[in-house]
Amino acid sequence: MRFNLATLAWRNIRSRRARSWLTILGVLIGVMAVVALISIATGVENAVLKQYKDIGYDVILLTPRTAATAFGMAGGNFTGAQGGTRSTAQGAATGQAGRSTAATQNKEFDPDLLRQDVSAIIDVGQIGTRVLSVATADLSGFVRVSAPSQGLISGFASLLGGFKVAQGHGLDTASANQVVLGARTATTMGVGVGQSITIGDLPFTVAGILAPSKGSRGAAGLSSGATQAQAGALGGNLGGGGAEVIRSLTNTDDAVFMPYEQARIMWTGDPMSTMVAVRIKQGISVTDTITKINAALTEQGVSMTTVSTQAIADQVQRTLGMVKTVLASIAAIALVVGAVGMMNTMYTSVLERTREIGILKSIGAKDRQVLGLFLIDSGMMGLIGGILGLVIGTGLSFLGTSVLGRLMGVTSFSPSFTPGLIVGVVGFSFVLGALAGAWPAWHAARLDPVEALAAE
Amino acid sequence: MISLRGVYKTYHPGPNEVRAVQGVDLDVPPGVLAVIMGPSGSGKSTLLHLIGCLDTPTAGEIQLDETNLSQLSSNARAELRARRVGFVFQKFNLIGNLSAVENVELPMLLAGLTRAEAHAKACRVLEQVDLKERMGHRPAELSGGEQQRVAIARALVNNPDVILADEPTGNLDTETGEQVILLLKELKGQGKTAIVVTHNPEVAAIADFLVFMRDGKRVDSLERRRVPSSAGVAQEVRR
Repeated sequence: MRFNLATLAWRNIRSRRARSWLTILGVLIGVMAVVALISIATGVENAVLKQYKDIGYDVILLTPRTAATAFGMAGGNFTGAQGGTRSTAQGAATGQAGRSTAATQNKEFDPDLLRQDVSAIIDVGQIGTRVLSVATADLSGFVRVSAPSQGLISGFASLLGGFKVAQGHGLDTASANQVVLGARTATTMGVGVGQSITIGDLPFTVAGILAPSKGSRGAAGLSSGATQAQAGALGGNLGGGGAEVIRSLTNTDDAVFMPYEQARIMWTGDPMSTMVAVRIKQGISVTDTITKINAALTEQGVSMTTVSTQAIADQVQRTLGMVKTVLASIAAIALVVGAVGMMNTMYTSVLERTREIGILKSIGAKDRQVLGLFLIDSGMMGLIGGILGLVIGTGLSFLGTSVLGRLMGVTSFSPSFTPGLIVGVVGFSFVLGALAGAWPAWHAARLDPVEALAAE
Repeated sequence: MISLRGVYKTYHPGPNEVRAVQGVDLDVPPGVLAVIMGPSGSGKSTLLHLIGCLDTPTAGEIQLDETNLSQLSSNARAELRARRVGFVFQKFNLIGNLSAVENVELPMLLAGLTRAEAHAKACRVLEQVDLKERMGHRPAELSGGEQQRVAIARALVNNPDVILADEPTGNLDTETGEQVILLLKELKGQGKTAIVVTHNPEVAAIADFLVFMRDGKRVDSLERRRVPSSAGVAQEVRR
């Protein structure tokens, strides 16, 4: 009998085409909003978490207790000789040439000493960062200059967005006054391999240019709101926010790189390390190791905070989870409006089909069969709305990520459609439709057959 | 055997109550064609609805063979309507979205037959009422007579014990009305019990049993043999 009820329900939907489609449209819009918003948010979450996974959950980050604002600079800001301005990104330099706002620890960090004190450590890498004036023949401006140690490049390349050299060669500790440029910096400055630039007052030769970093301003850039929000939460543990530091480090496109040893010579006065990355042996407790590192740093008189990538990833995931919940709630309002529209349609339909209900009852339809007929009717409209909403929402989410990507210079993330989302949305649409039709259907099932037959 | 004892039906009990049926006793033996006649508002249709389990009496008892209809649940009444009773209405009451054959299939599907079984049987019954060529048409594409024949086919398709017809010729022209009367005669020949509410003396002329209603009460009852002709019946109605 179910098949026949479905057939009859389908005929009813088709016989009131305009109204049925308008009702379906209400559900469609709601489902479309849910699918698009959730898939985009999940895509961002996955991309961000992948970034942390690439870095590794066995990594502990150490930063000075005061924020390293140089990491917060998303790009450079150059002024041409003719007065025009070229920006590598939205960010603008907030520091002054040759001056760091970061390192304020009492003593300079010594990686070998830490390795001696904490046996669980297998790799240590460090990086110093300054915002400095950089000039070519035509342009001058400020740019983030990073000085990674060889240990950081070899052991923690993912922290530097892979640090893949596209032209020329990488950082060579043996050659003095050589730099490697981020892809966008090279384009903006209009310099190539072998050409000269001036950093501060010193001339440098461009030894290489990096390939565009995949996640530079991609997932991490998109999640900056979330990461900045959680940076506050982590503030007590990690000055400036570990997620923000990672986001900034992985953006190699807008930076200039020089060897750590070169920077030590140039940047005298302040202790060098702006950030230290430590990888520990597998199977060793991260929490216990952090305790040991903190004790060792205190012993050494170095004032740094520690946090694991796992803790940062967890915090980011929690924050993005909240964002997703808010987005889903907003989209759910659209779904509820669609459901109310469907309830209205179904109630009108019951009123219009009162005589038909009487006929069905006169030929032996039970109350539950009449109830089923109207539930299938509304459920079917919900299901159609759900499927169409899923299809259009999918298209919209790809369009959305594409537009968002263009606006924010993002290429490394795409919307995520989990089987749970797809099955859940379609199933929920059917249930929502049936629920919206439940009261009208119950009303129909309870109609007195004689009164129903008398209806015109 | 259909048996009514002291049956009352009152709508809207209270100051504005309507006493549609008042203390009706009636026995309709199996295999007879009983005709209920009377002026409008006399309670004929209400009586038919009570017998067909579409409505429940306010007081009294209605028996269909061994079953006391007054005590049945809503589901049991629906079950009985599906299996033991076939309704034919003046306004045909076909479902507009369904074709003729689908309308006829519906009671069988409600009674639990498979779609294939229901379809095969619906086709056979529609053939019997000369609608083989029209079974794919929707009610709006059929004439009044054709629609009523579809309605009769739908009423008969579950092979019910009782056919209840409310003014089955009321919306039909003379010629089509005569076709319906012929169908009712055939039913009688097949041993079905039929109760027909009508103003049509032609229908009354083929009745085995006449019941006259006025103001919700049964005012007279005549055996078929006491009705010599349709003209005679018409005279009784006016009396």
